[in-house]
Amino acid sequence: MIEQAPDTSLRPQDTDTVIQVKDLKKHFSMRGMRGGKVLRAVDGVSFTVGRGETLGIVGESGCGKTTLARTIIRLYRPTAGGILFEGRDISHSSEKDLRWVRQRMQMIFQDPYASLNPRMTVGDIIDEPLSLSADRLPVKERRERVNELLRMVGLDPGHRNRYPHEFSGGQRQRIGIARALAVNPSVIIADEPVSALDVSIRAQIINLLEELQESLGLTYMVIAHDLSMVKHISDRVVVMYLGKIVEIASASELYENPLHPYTQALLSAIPIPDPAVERRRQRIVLEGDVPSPTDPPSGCRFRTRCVKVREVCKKAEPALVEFGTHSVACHLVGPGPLSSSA
Amino acid sequence: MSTPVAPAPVDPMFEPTEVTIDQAGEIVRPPTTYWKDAWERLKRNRVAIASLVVILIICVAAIIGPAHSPYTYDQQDLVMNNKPPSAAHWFGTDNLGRDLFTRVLWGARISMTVGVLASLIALGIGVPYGAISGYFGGHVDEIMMRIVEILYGLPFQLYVILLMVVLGAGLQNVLIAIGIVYWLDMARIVRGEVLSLKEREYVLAAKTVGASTWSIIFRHLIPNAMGPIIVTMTLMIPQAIFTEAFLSFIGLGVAAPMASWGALASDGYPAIRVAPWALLFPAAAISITMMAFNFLGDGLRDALDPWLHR
Repeated sequence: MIEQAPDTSLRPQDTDTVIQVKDLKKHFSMRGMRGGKVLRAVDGVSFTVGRGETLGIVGESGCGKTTLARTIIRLYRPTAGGILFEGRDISHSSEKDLRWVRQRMQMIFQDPYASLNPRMTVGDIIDEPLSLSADRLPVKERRERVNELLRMVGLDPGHRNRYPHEFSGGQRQRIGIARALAVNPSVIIADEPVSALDVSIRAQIINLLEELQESLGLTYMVIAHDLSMVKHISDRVVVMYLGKIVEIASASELYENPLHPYTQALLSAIPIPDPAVERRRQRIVLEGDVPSPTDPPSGCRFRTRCVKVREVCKKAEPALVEFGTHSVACHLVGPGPLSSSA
Repeated sequence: MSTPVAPAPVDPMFEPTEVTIDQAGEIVRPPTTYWKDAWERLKRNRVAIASLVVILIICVAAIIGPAHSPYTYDQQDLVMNNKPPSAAHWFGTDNLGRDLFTRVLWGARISMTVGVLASLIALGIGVPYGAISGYFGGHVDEIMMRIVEILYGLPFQLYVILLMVVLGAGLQNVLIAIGIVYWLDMARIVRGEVLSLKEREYVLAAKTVGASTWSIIFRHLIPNAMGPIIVTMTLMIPQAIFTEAFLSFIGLGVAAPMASWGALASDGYPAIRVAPWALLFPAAAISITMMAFNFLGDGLRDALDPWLHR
């Protein structure tokens, strides 16, 4: 079942790798809490991102998706582990050396109402990355570039002197995209790019992102909790739970043949627009909340909510095991005798 | 197509426009800035605007008034002492026959200088100090805020009196005394603002595009804290004016024959039965100025922070 015919979608082995994350950890020390607890937001995560692909990262709130993204783009200093970006280890680069990264990796933020400085004009917001770049263009050429970027994201260059509050949420997100594109990056990390927008304009922004990927050859890392959106845009999907990766697979493989019980539960929660199918299928309802990342369960982190929990899950932490194009971290999945028929 | 429509009842809030449906997508209001919006809101507050006018009149009088007065602040006329207000002496004369109106104008210069300087010190020291403390946080914040608390802890009167004993009375030393303490409030307010603003996503966005720490503080954080900064400055001016008046009243301010409002009130106070105007006019000047600045500060707070009012 697992070693089925390889799918045709893009695999990291086929292209050169842009980002390689190795056993990345980001812990926050909780000041003021008794005993000085440590919050393990990201706790040993490894994966690669291939050039030109879109990697989706899904998981519940608080599973460490945003921390992972912010650590990779080096807004945070990782606690341990390595981040290889275009062959260079940037996990402990100084602010000065990070200037190189800032020219090549950019971020789109979740809340378009908070991610634009309300006291700056749209022109100044998009010009900021240009004015900070190492090979800075003269003012006049930068003006041209800002106009070009505004047109690229579907806004009127005549609005460059307006302030963010004069735009709608979707337009603001376009401004955020233009800012991210200003320095001609090769990788864009999008942290829930549409979750703060009206449902009616989400598709527009997703389409814009896809068009830009096509025309500019961008690599995307898209974080989301909207599974159908992730399925639509991603080549491969990483599923996270409590700071760990539980499953990685190509989007089509993951949605057709989820192996990890957590992924199965997540996918069973997507509504299907067909009442006949919807009535027949079974939903796996997860009980309770995500355990606290300051005090994760022993063994498998998902065992407290897993419907298939066994004795072994308490004792050992399952490793992320690769089966061809599909990687999964679960004791119950694999060639061993414990493997259950999916 | 263009059938005339009966004119709708005119609402003073809205004006009919002469556009067709094709142009409807082009209806936009002219771009406004935060400051234009704030000014529009301030203009609707009559008390604040009246206060602003009073302050401007006092400032203009302080700047050009003394030059146009037929008297000087120290010109004595012992024959004309303790005269009530008249056409020749608008505010009357004091016990040495000096023209009170001229002396109050000179006092306005000193009081306004003290007020403006105190707020400029707050702007120059308090704002960057608070912003740095709030932005860096951790140990930097701990140390910087402990220093502020130590200075807060000094009993103001006691240390001013000691300072005057050491340095001697005079306007310059009054300014030093006020300068040492008047940026503390501002530092605390700016720190609080920066603590909340630095978590905004636009600060993260500025970091990801490679903005330096200084650029984040001065280009992103302080401009967004400008509302509370301006309100604090406006409310600080009357406090400083009152402090100077108080110091002059107890004899630690400017030296005679120079006069500040506090010194004039102090001079007029013993003669309250003979020449009450010698106390009344300087005291009224202090009160009116303080009230005007306080009303303006309140108006600015409402205008600059539209979420707060109502």
